[in-house]
This record gives sequence, C-alpha cells and structure tokens, in this order.
Amino acid sequence: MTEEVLELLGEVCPIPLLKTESEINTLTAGDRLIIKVDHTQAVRNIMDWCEDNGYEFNIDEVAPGIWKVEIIKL
Amino acid sequence: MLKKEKQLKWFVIILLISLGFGLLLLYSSLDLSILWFIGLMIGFILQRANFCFAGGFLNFFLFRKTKLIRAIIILIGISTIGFAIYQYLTFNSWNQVLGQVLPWGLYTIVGGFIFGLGMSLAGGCACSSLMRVGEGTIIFVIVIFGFIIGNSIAIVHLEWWIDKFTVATIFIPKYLGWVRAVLLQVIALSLLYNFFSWFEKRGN
Amino acid sequence: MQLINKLSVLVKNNWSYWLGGLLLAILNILIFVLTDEPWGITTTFALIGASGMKFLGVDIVQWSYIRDILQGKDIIDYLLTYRGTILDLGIIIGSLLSILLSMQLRFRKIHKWKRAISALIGGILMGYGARIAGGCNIGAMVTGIASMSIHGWIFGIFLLVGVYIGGKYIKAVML
Repeated sequence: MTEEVLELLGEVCPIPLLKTESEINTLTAGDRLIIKVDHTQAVRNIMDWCEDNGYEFNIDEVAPGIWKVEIIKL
Repeated sequence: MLKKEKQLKWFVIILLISLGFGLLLLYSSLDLSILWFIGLMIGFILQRANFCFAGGFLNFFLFRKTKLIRAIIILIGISTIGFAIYQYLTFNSWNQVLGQVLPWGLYTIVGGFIFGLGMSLAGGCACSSLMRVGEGTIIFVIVIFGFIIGNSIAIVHLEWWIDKFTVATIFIPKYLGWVRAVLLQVIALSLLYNFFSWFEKRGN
Repeated sequence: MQLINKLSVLVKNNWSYWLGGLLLAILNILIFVLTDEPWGITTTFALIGASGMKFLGVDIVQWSYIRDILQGKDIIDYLLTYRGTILDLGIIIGSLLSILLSMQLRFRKIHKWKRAISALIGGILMGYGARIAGGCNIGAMVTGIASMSIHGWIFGIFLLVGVYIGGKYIKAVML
C-alpha cells in the first residue's frame, strides 16, 4: 500500500486534475494519493471527479485556502 | 495567511467601505453607482459559483464534463431574451440598435482563435481573471498585465484590421424579423445545451 | 463520511454552476437596461494601456479608436470615472468579499516561473484577440450573441477552436 503525494500549490486549472488523473493510473488498489492544492476551482473539479469515478476521498482544509485531498483507489 | 476569524472581520470592514463607496458614487452619477453595486454582485457570484469560461471549456475538451459549459449557455440564452426585449422597446432605426452590435471580419475569426488560445495558457478568461485576483490568486495580476499589453499592441493595429478586413455588420433581426431571430437563437442554444447534456451522460 | 466532507466544503463556498449562470444573466440584463450599454470588461484594459503609452510619450489620439472614446477629454480623467473601471473594480472587490465570507482568502504565491510566463503570454494573446475582435468572452461572445449580432457567434466558435488547440497543447506539455 503506497502513498503518493502531489504538491500542486500554485497550479491553476486544468493542471491539478490532469496530474491527478495521470497519477492515479499509476497506482494500484488500496494505494493512496494525497494532493495539496490551493486553487478553488481545482478542489471542486477533483471532488466531482472522485465522485464520478467512485473513488473514496477525504478532504481537509489544512489552512485558509489550502486543501489536502486524500484519494483512496479501490 | 489570514486566520479564519480575521477574515470574517475583514469581510465586514470591506463590505461597509464598499457600500459607502457606492453611495459616494451617487454624487458623481447614478450609472456609476449602479455599476459598482452590480459589479460587486457579479464578482461575488463568479467567486461563489467558481464560474470560469476557461474552466468550463477546458472541462469539456479535456475531461468530458459539461456542467459549466451548460451554465454558460444558460447565461447567454437568458441574456438573449432580456436583450432582445430591450432592443425592441428602444428601437429607433437599424443603425442605432442598442447593444453590442459590431462588424465582423477576419479579425473576428483571428481574434476569437487567439483569445481561446490565450485562455488555455492563462488558465482563465477576462472576468475570471478579475475574480481570481479578488480571491488572492496573484498570478492573475500577471494575466491582467498581459491583457493590458496585448490591448495596447492591438490598438496600434486596429485601424488596419478594421479597414482592410471588415465584411459586414449583421444584426440578425434585421434580416429575419425580431420573433424569428430570437426563436432561432434560443432554439440553437437549446440544441447545444441538449447536446452537452447528452454528451456528459454518454460519458458515464 | 464522503458526503459530509463534500457538503461542508460546498455549503461554505460553492453555488451550483447553473445558478451562477442564471444570476449572471439577470445582472447582465440589468446592466444593459439600466445603463443602455452592455457589460464589457476589456475596454478598461485598453485605456490603461493607452495611458501607459501616453506616459511614454506616444501620441495616443492618432488612433481613431482612442479619439472616439476620449472625445477630447484627458485619458486619466476619463479612466477614473469610466464605467468599465468602476465595474471591473467592483468585480474584484465582490470576489474578495465572497472568499472572505468563506474564510478561504490566501495570497497564492507563484511557484513556478514557467507558470508565470504562460500566464503573461496567455494574457497578451487574450488582450490582442479581444481588442481586434471587439471584446472578450463577455464583451464579444456573451453580449455579442445576446445582442443577436453575427460577430458574437463567429467570435465564440473560433474561441472554442482556440481553447481546443490550447487545451491539447497544455495536456501535452503539462505546464
């Protein structure tokens, strides 16, 4: 069970979701992908994308305007 | 980094200053005051709904998601109806129609294409750049700076473009009649909307 | 767990896209009806640019575009009370108010110089394209189409072509 971290602070759309997509493909079931973003649209896109693809996720606003999204590939 | 409680405090302060500024503007002109308050509302809505044209179009092309692009169609469609009514009510002559009725030519095509290209590279459009600056995403100050530079260069070339390449100014109701023009446009936009709905469902 | 997560973020911040579209349409119509001129964003940028050029010694009234707008007035005076300036400023402050309300304001620094260059080039392209076509995504596409002028449709179609190609480039290069 590996854990990958994507540091995406300062990135704007569509980069965060593009990188998330390509990164999740390299993982296997049970792995975790942790994404750090600070772009409001990116957070929303990633959450919607997780729902559409059936990924479980946890989201935490670690500081004002910075989100840590933890995606679990099932 | 502003702590959470401080942000709410600043919200109230800036809100009060904004209201005051809007009232002050009344001394200058009613129009300016109205535009200020509407501007505040537009900015608020853009940020709250995370409404960005670049995001909407890129979501469609890169991720097959069409919610935002459909919302843009709603924006255009409803505006059409409101605009048409006002244009009709204030109609004087075909040369003096109110609204954004401009000539088209090669520059419309080239301009649109370049603009679209720029939107992808910048990660935002005109209104969302303003919205993002308000959000604190500082990089969009650079985008706006670029906007100003691009505009300046274009001003130098503008007369050449317009003189050499203008084809015509076509105000659709002039050729089809008011009712047919509005119907045609609303139907076209509805068809586009349905296409995008179908497209998203098909993806799942 | 997931639903509650998403809800808490949503309730704090996000309205649905269609609601945004609807409200913006109403405001768009209001601007038009109340001030007889439709919503536009980029003319302000053009005037700021022209002010800069004037400061550098350029004769800006040689261009009919500037002449027609200023009609003899001084550009700085004009800019300070120009409807576009007030509207654009209002949008920035309105956005600031929104994010303060959800307590998510953060001065998001620039992390990569490549991103900054992309932003600058993107802005220049948008600025140039908007001016020669007569408006930006709002001024030419939304209000142009809403005004039932052919130029709006044409601009919109080629804007989409531009975004399509730009998107392909971004994906390939992964800036």
